[in-house]
Amino acid sequence: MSAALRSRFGRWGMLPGWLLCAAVLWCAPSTASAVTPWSPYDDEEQTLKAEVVQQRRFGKLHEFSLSGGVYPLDALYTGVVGTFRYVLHLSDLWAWEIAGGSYSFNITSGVEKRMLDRYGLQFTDTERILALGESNVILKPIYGKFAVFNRWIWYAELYLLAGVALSRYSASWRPGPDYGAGIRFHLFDWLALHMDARHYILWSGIPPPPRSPADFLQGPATLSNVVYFGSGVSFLVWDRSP
Amino acid sequence: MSTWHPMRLLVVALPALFLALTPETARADRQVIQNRTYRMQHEFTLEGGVLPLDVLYKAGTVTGRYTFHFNDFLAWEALSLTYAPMTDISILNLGFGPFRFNHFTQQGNDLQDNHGYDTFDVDQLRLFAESNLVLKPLYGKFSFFNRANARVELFGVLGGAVANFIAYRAWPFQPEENIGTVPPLPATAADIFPKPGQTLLIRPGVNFGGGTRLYVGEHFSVRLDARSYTFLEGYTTPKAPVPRELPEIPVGFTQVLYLGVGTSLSFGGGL
Amino acid sequence: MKARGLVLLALVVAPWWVAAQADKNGKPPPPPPAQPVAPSPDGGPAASVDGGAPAPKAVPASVFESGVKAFNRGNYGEAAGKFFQYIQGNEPAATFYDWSEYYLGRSLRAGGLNHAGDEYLYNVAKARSRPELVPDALRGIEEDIRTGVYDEELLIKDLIAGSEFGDQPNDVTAFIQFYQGVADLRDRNELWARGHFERIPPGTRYTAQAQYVIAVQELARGNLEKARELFTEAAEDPRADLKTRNNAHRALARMAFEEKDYLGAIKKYGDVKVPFLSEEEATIFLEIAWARYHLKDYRGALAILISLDAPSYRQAYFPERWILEALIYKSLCHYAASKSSAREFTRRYGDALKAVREQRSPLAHPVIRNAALQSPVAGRRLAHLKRLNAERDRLSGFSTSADLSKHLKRLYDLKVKEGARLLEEDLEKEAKRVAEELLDFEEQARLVDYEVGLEVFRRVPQAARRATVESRSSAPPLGGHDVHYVFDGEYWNDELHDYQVSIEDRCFAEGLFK
Repeated sequence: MSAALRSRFGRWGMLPGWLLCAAVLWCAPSTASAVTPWSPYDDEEQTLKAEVVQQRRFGKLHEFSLSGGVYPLDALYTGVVGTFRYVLHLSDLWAWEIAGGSYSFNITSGVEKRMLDRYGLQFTDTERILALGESNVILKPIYGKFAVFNRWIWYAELYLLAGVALSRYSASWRPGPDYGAGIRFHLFDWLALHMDARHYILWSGIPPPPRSPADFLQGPATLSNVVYFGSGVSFLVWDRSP
Repeated sequence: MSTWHPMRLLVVALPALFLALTPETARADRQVIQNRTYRMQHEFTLEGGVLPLDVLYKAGTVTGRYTFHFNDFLAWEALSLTYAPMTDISILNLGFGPFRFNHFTQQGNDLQDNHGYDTFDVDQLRLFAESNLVLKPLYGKFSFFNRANARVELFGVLGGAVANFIAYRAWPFQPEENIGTVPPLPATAADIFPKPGQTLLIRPGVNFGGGTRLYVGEHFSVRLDARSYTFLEGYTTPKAPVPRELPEIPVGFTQVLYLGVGTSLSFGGGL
Repeated sequence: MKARGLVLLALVVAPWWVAAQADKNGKPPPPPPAQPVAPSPDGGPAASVDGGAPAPKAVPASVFESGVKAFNRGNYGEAAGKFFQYIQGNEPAATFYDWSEYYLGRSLRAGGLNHAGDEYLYNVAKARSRPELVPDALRGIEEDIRTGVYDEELLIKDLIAGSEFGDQPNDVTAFIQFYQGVADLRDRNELWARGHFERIPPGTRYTAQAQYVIAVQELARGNLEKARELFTEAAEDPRADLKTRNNAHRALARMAFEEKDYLGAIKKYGDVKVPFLSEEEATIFLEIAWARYHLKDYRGALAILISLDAPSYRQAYFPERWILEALIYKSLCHYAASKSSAREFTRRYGDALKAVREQRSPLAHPVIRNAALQSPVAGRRLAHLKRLNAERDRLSGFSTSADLSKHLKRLYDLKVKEGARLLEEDLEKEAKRVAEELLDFEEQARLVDYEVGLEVFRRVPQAARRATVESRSSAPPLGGHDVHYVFDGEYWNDELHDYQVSIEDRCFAEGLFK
């Protein structure tokens, strides 16, 4: 009666990776040509180049963040996630997210039941993620600012991260690499908002080598792809010496 | 003594909010940007996207949108049409030898290969239309490695949508059985509504989401969209609640997640 | 009965309280009805003090009393109507005539009709038949003068300069003496002016203001040290108002500029606190740009000129900006850029200059009219006219008696008409000045254009020779604590002070090519 339905993601598991690529493309520079007030009258091309030089606002050493988020990509349940993270900002470019811990409250989507009702099918892998710990290296190459309703300025930085994670599922431990991207808005010297997206690739064990090309194309059976979208507040303390 | 009603606040607050959102009312020294470079009024968008959430299929989509921008902060996405062609032509099973390439997941293929189900037994989203209010509070610029600027906008959308599904046990009728025939009129009042377990071909829904736009030129921008839709699927017979799960309501919903990347052409909106 | 007793008690006690409050903090007291002579108990018509026959339509004192009650309730429209009724229905010698004028003035001011209020306070201060009311009336008038938008003819020329007020509290004396001194100075009577300034009691804002005025006189006479000393004192006086301090700082900066201490001047300009994005800020920007130019910090000067091109400053009239830019480019040997800046001046102001040359009224040209409006004299006049208009518009919301409404409408109509006429007069004068100035700038622009033409073919003078081409500063690092945004014409308010310009210095020694 029951069909062995293994990975729930198949070849779509890499989708978040594509999204990340898109996010990187998002940062591509504008090609709008520089127009100076002199351009129309100055026949000495490019004689003058004007820049705005400002200091980065974010100069704190420690960041403690609280986030709320979701693990949306599993069709059987949606994980509502609470996360705490501690980040050490080593420089304007580099930071180390020393530790992050998440707990997921899982809400069933009803798909399992629907599959059973409609097609008489049951899933074999019904384990659910409960908790996840991680540590990441963060790169903050792009800095900018937003005008909020053209009234206030929020200084912002985009960051990319990569690291390792260890998760606890209902019946197993699953380790694996992760990567992601995010943006942080600096509201005050001590307070920031952040949004991030992460992709965790978690193994429930060492995958056996593929036996056929079809096996290879379908990917390791023990792989769980977990995508995280979240946002929250960051508390920043202790000035980083320049 | 007059009683205070929250509606009053709404009556006062809404026009005030609209005024506050109108850039022209702001004093120059309260503004952040004096002459915003990129503005738009009419925006035409073409997007490619994906519906990644369903357990049986993952469909690629194409979307066209028209958006009218009232000002720098508020816009109305008047109409968007999204079509998932693969769900309509899923018979197109490309492949050779043991390999197959179609939009079904392993489970979706399993159903058809090993359990005797037909392609059109799988509940799939085929087409949807939507209309949204767009709020664009954040307009910013980023320094790209101190060499170039990137102009970026973040926006949120909220609105309603209506979708056409290839339904499982479809109501009002099975499309493939009724091609070229006129469906019978409902004989009784009860026939107007679907039976428990039947799913609607046309499903109304609500949606919310967000996105970001990268301005590339005066008339051109690239955008990234993520939206979550909840469509009314049909209804089932009521059940007792199960612990640690959301109480089951007798009405069924189809959750659809949409992720897309697109380009926009825009006109108007200059100073 | 009880209420009436309380009112009477208030009437008796109030004058002392008024005086005590005034001495304490120098601020206008809250409305105190005062009555040295008890009103007729029956509320009948108040007899004229002259002892003459009562006016046939004399209005009873009870009207005044109900006006005071309304005033105390904060119902200024109703109060004003009552006081006006009393004034209309009585001779100036009537018991409460001055009180009514005083309260009418205060009611109108409280209702946002400052000019009309000032007219009645003016009457009280000018007549001086109730000396106890004069300090308060004057304080009310001073409040208006301090805003900088007031009727100069009425309040300064007619009232302050043309009256003697006898002994007054210190704050009022300071105000009177200062403006009497200023009026004397305008009549070129410096000796008398000094006398008035010396009589300003210490400890008020007017000490610094007087110092500033005297310093300007000293400067005109060439006593630089004395002027500098007085300006510094005025700038550092903690009681001085912001405007005086700013003016003093600015004067010191300009003195430093004239003495070629450009760094000192830039530092002093930094002390001037001007409103963000204001025209004043723009003028400071331009003056700093000149100082930077003289310091040979051409890139710094160009960066300031970028700020000045922001939309917020576009209304401001700065023809010399183009001349400065042409000079900067010339100094960097960017001759084509220099020529185009000089010609940009002609492009922008050529039309206005043509109008000046054709002997038409310069004021007819919008550029010149706009420039004339930016002069302090015309600017003040315009601001006053705008306020009169705003107050006239406010009349419709000021619910008071029909008689007073009619009277106020007529008063404002006349005053607005008069204000518009005076503005045109001022503008005529200013337009002539602007036209002359513009002709002068045109001469300078032509000169730069001509010099550039010559310089292209001339050897670089020995003194200006450099060994190598001074290239623009190297490209910024890819990251770091400093963020560089390329300026592409979008003005963010937080960036106006952060522009940096890189441009080659193309002046080099011909020896390089030997």
